[in-house]
Amino acid sequence: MEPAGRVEQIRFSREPSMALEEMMTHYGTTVLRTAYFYTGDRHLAEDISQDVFVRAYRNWHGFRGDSSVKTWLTQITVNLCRDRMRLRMSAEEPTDPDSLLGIQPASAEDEVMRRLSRSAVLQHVMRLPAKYREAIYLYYYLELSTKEIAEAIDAPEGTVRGTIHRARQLLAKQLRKEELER
Amino acid sequence: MSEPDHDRQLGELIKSEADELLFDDLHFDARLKEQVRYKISEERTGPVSQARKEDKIRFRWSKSWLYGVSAAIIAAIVITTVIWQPADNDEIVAGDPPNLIMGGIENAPIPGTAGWTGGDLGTMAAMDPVIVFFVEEADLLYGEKVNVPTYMIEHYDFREFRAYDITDGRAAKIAIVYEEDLSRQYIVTESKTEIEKVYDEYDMIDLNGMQVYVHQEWDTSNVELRWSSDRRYYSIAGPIGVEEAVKIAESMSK
Repeated sequence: MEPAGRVEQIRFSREPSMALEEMMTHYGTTVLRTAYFYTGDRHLAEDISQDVFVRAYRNWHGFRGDSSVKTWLTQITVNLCRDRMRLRMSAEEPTDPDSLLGIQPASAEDEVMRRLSRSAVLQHVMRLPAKYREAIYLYYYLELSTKEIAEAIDAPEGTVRGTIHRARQLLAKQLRKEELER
Repeated sequence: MSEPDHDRQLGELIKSEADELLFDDLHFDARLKEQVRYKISEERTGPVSQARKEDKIRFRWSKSWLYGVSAAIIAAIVITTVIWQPADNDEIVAGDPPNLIMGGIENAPIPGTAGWTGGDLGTMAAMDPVIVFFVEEADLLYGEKVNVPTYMIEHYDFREFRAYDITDGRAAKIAIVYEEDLSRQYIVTESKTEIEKVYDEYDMIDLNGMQVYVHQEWDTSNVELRWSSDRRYYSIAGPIGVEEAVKIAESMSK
């Protein structure tokens, strides 16, 4: 099942400097929030989001428009986040690779967890294993199609569909459990 | 409620909760935009690039003096030969040196006619590349998607695509030119026919299962990487060292 079609209506200039300004205006916040979702670290997210646009600017000449700019920027963001988190993991004590996705119940800032406890669904999303959290975020928050998600995270589309389906099942199970406990 | 409706509701709830509870004060504001612009301008005018640009300016000034003098001499010769018209072209005044310039112009064979030794015009035209700046144009000329590297060396910028060996509107070869300044460029070439070698000897390395031939000059960072894949031939050449050339090659995948 695909999210309601969100065809990219914005036409970007071919001139790199103008395209950069357009990209930052339209997708700056999205990129920043995606980086924060992956890293759980605000300062790192700001750093990564800037590097995303520097990289996009430098590679603009090679962008054909095979995917939407949004998908392309998401792909760059995901790759940069993974690189930085890998560097961080290799510098610190080895941790569970599944915890590569930043905001986690165990390590998230207290303030974030306090806020999340007020949520109906989000707190359960954040308790899912990393790959399911990622799928939910990209599908529901960024509203990417399964094809776009596959491009962004470099995975087969079939795998993405399966992951989203499984994520929904796990989420439904958690929500039912919570309802029963009330 | 139907499943699509349920799914839509779930999506809306996740979005609104994330915006309110997770991301409410996270915005890509003017400060961050300015930092992006600053990072990009720093890459262009960083210490290394700035030093090279200053050298270039100094070189330009000394060169322009030379150009100025040369231009003055040429202008003087042209003016003299145009203004001074001998009464009889066949008459040679004793003591005058042979007017090589005048004689050269008058006697120069016309391109394309008998006596022209400047090379075949069709070949010359074919050797001149067509220059484009957008990948879609390069794809059109090449007749298929050009393999554009996703890795670019720091302080370099994309300059242009050059299309070579054009027959019936289709190029057999595309070169992507990157430059730091006019004196430092590296070129990534993709061709439908084998690319002419720059050097006599190459070492072979394995790059993700691909046989890649590499030559680096022993005393400089000039390097050439060559390989073929799926009936296409590739090369990367420039003063960039093997490590950077390999990174570029690794970033190229269709």
